[in-house]
Amino acid sequence: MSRPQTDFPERLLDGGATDFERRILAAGASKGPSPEVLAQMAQRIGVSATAVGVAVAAKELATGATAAKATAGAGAGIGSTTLLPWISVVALALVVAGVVVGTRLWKGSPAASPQVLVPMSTPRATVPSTSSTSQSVAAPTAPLSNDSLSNRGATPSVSDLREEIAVIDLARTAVKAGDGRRALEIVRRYQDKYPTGHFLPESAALKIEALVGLGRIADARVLAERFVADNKGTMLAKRVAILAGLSRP
Amino acid sequence: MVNSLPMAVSAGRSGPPETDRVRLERMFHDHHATVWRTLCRRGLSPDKVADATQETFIVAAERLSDIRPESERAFLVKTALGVAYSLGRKTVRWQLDEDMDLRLSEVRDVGDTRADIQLCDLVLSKVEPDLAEVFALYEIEGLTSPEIAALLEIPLGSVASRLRRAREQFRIAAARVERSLRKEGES
Repeated sequence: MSRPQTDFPERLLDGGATDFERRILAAGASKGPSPEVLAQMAQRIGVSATAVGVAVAAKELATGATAAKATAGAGAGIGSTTLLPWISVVALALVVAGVVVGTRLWKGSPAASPQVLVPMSTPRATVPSTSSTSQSVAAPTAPLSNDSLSNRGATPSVSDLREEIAVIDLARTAVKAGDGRRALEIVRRYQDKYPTGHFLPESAALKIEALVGLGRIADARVLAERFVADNKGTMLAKRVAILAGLSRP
Repeated sequence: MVNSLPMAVSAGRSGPPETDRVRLERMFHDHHATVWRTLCRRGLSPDKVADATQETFIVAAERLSDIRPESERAFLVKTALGVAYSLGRKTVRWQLDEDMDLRLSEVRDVGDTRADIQLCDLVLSKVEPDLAEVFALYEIEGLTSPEIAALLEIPLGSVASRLRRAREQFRIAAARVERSLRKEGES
């Protein structure tokens, strides 16, 4: 913690305060997010939860990942360290869908004032029926939301979140490995199991990416167009538009 | 204005250098609580605070190369204030805004850290918002006076005067709360 300049008084915590003042100031300085919230933030930002000192929560998340892997019946080895890796495509998607919505004007100098950001939460949007597409595309249509995790209903438990994250991570891994069919299956299971899940936009984006990977461009575009319309202005929508060839990178 | 994708995305699957990842992790480790508290002081709900904290670090991640190592905390605080501003929180605002005496009754276990945090918020809520901001940044977050001046875009002299007035108000409120607590303990 930086020391104040010499022309300014000594900090109360360093001296000159009464016991009561010191006690409440120290308490005020100790205020912070709970380990669970910290772990969630770390994951969404894309930094290691362990690295930020939330070992307990990270351990729970890792345990949950293992459990979810078993549930999903997938054999890919995914440890806690691979959950939402550093601003990978999906990590960013997970982040931006919940947090970064809209315009960001950060082109000024470092010393410039932070620019005005649009609100991070936007109303839920529902993807229309996909009946016009092939069966696997049309299979369980889940509501897609670009609002933040914290605004998706009741506060999620760590166990719920860790399972959701693990399943999404499995789908991401499948997409990355070029196994689009498996990715679609995992996404379908996710959307079945979590009809109001916290990562529905991400799952939809993965589905579109998987379809593109399978060469089902027309199906992907149908979904992408709806996704973009329902999540207009979000970075995830832009990502999906690029993926489906609706717009240029 | 059209949003621009971060380099990590626009460049495809390749992420930023390992050094950037390590740096962001360190920044998050070192300063997430400061960012969190800064946003809490704007009266945002816990959910919004979490969102805004994430937003702050995402902005930092995008601008890592622009952030001087010695200015990381100041950058994050300023960004957090900008995020709060965008959410309509332009000044310090406290969640606990009922009457101080009523709130005192909520503090059952004095000495418990959580209770002390409530007391701290309670006392700070009695300090004028503009003064409380300077006070919190200086006394709680440990920012230097030039950093605060730059953050709030006010002269250094204003930082000094606000801090002085904030201390006066803080100490009066703290004394009052302490007296009330003693009174309750005796009754």
